Amino acid sequence: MSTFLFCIGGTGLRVMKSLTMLLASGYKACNEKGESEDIIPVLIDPHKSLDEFTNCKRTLDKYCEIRSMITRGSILEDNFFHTRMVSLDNLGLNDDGNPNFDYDLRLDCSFGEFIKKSKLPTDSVSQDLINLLYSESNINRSLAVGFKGSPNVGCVVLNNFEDQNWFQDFTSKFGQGDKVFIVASVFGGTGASGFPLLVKKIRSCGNTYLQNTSIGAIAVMPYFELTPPKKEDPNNDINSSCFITKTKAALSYYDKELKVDGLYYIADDKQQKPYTNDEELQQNGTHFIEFMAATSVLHYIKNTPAEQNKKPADRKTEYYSICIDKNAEVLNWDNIGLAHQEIVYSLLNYYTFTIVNELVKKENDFPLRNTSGFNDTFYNSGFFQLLDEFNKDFYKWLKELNDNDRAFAPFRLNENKMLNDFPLQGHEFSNTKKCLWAKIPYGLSYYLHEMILLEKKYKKRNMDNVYEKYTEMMYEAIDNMNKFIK
Amino acid sequence: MLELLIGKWSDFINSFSPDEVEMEAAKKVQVLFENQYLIIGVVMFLLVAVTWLIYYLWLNSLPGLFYKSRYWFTAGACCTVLTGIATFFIVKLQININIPFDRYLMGIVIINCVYSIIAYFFISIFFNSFTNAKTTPFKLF
Repeated sequence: MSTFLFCIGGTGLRVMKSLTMLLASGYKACNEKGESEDIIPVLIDPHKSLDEFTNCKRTLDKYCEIRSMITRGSILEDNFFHTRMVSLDNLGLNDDGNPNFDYDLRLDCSFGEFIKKSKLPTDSVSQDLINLLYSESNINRSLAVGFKGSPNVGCVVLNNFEDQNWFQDFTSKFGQGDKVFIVASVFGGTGASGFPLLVKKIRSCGNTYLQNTSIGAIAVMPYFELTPPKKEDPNNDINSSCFITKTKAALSYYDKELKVDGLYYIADDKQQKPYTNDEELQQNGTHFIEFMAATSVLHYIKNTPAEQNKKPADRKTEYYSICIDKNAEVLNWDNIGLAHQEIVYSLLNYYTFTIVNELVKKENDFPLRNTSGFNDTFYNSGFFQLLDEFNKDFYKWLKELNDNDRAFAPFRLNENKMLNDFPLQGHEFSNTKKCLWAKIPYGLSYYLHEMILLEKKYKKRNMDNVYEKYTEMMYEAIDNMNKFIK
Repeated sequence: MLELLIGKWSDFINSFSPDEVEMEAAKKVQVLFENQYLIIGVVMFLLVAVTWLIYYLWLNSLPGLFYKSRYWFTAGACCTVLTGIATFFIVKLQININIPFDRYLMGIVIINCVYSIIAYFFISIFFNSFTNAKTTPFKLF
């Protein structure tokens, strides 16, 4: 069973990145029957030079590479990187390595060239209509930088989905029991226009399973502001004061025209410091809302069956909004709400793993170096280079969430990779042991000691894949220790 | 061993004047010394066993990175020092004769300490695998 996850536009990519981090922490994508579900991300954004796109793609690539080295085709037990994410190209193959998430939607022409405006007679009615619907800057702007908050451009450019190789690949590979989820913002250009188009194309395609499948979506509403555009700035097309108007327009259109099975809403008005208005760079850090939007994918997979009794037109949409417990400026374990604590706990475990993984390499006397093969050769392998890169990205991602506005700061972030304090902000480790009269302080030793105790159990399993053994043992040891939250 | 380290007992006995009292006392020292070998050996083995139990079964069941070599060496060093102290007092208390035999006393203390190091080393090699302890030093299996 698979969920095809369409991430449209910049926000879609950001949500995908957050989802990748969440899945790396071992949080499982399970369906309503409790079975693990594969996720097939499809990234749709014509703005390929955007850092967000390369970042998201690189993170996904690393995730798939790391996971394929951990699993080597087998099914994973409870572990980090538990959920299989596979590119459309690799779907149906045994090897998840070398994924390709880039479907080359790049268009190196202006919108005017795309619609062949110059070929229309200058005094024709069509020319007049185009001039009425599109501004001069709409027509002359290069499509290589996306739609710049103009859904009227996006809905034309993206309207040829079905001719694209990736869409044909998607319709041919979609099978019984699979479902679709779409992530898009409704206050910009690409997401707002791509989302309804994609739903329409899916409902009218030739694959019966796909036509009738459950479709879920999250409509990400405004959650940040931009500095007002300068008049002399050529990139002044995006004005955050229009976000609400655009959202209203999109939502009223979706309400009448769009039929999906689950629709999630999320927004935030807590931002105090607006982002710098530069669409080309978009160097704003990860936002809490993007992370919360990522959780909707997992909620949908868990709660909505792929096959429905009624036809899509006769089905009712279930609406959800994602909420937090307290409207605080800084969100942490205590005020985020019980429903999200499980997710924060999962991230806590992975954050702990990133530190323990660094420190254990320097533990020359750690017995498992000899008895389980966790030695220098093992730590110097390509797997650890990849994992270290991924972990750096993970830390950066947490730091961005921590520093953004509103802040998601449940952890004591420590750049020096030390474990002197329990990483959960405002909480302590409640299971400290005593050696005679002295308390053994919380730290690395608790996790390594737990690994030593677990080794016997893992030896019985005769695991050939030492990467799987290492990550799974770490996962269990960290989970066994971190549950002692005071 | 003691004779190799310090010198022959006959030399010790002959070092006293042929005065019957002193020579008899020296001979008594030798006999009493030899009578202590079993006791100080048993005490040494007991101390080694207790150290092994403490290090492998108790300390290694706690977090705190006690698997590190330095803790094993520390435990061994403590065992050796305790063995030396115990040997010293056992011999000193059992041989209450007023002639100088300090060289032999120090010699027996050093020898027992060396034996305790050897015993601690071998007991670590052969028995740590039968416990849950996963300490690095001399882990054979």
